[in-house]
Amino acid sequence: MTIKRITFVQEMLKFMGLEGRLHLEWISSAEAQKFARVVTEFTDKITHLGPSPIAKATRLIPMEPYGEKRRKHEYHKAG
Amino acid sequence: MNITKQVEQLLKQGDVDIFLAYRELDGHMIPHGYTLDNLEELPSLKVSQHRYSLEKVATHLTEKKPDIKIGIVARDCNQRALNLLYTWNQLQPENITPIMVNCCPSQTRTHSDCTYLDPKSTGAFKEEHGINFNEDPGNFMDNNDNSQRFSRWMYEFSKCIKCYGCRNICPVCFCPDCSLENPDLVEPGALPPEIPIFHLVRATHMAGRCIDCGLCEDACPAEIPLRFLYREMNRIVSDVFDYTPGVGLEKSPFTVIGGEVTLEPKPMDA
Repeated sequence: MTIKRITFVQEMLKFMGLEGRLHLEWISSAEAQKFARVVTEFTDKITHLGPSPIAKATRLIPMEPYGEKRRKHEYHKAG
Repeated sequence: MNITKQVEQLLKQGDVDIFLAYRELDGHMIPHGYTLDNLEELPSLKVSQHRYSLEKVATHLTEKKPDIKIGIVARDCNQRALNLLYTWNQLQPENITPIMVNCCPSQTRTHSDCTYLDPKSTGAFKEEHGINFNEDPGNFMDNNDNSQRFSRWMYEFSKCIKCYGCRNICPVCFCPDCSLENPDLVEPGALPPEIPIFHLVRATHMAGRCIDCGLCEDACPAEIPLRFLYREMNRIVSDVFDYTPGVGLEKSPFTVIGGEVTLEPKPMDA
């Protein structure tokens, strides 16, 4: 089930143009070396891909209210 | 027998407590419930090309009154939605009486009655920066690289005014608590909503549920190609889970735990 769901999300992200930023691996608690290797490899891969384009893209969109207000949850509290 | 007679008979025989259809009001077709108490309104029942998710109304009615018997005027898309709602236990098939009406043209039906049959047109700017409504997902993947796809989707999503129209019209959106209204997940008071997360949350929820009626895309005031998006989601679902929502009464694979899997995890450099 997990593998099917993750495959679905991977395909979805690919469709969105965010390919390669999700990885699934089975690692047992007895496989410390495998864990270290997979995490290192994935970190390298993400470093190579660079920062997520979402942050960059959303900065270009004029948003109102944004910044301080957005972070303070003012609207949420008022509602 | 015409539909008015048919409905009258159903109501008088007590086969249905309410019949959901449309009535003409000032030249507009609006959803309406016909009951024994307002039989005089029956002549205003009209079947036109306009459509609405009547099965959503049926779901709400059933929520309030579980034993209510509902008649419903249905096209193929409504029938798919009903099938899906049966499998999710939102409606009971024995309480629903659909009357099928003309839908897409076929060998038995030479003409059609559905708003969807006018294909949506896409303007030049949208064509260049966004996504054509009638694009084929395969071509979209082939003609755009990763970053182009991303910028096209972000252009589309950034127009979102968070009106929730897509969710409100959706016949298969029935959760009592919507993730899209949870203030911890979706920041209130910010426009556009956090993109692309907002739309991807809905897209994920549509996987294995969307019956491709296209009402969301019709409803969207920002012209986001939602049908295109959910269609592709369900293409993936049919590949990965071998399931097409609304076709039969088979349970959604998302509600079934376990099962044999032949997939392998993707290698990291795929």
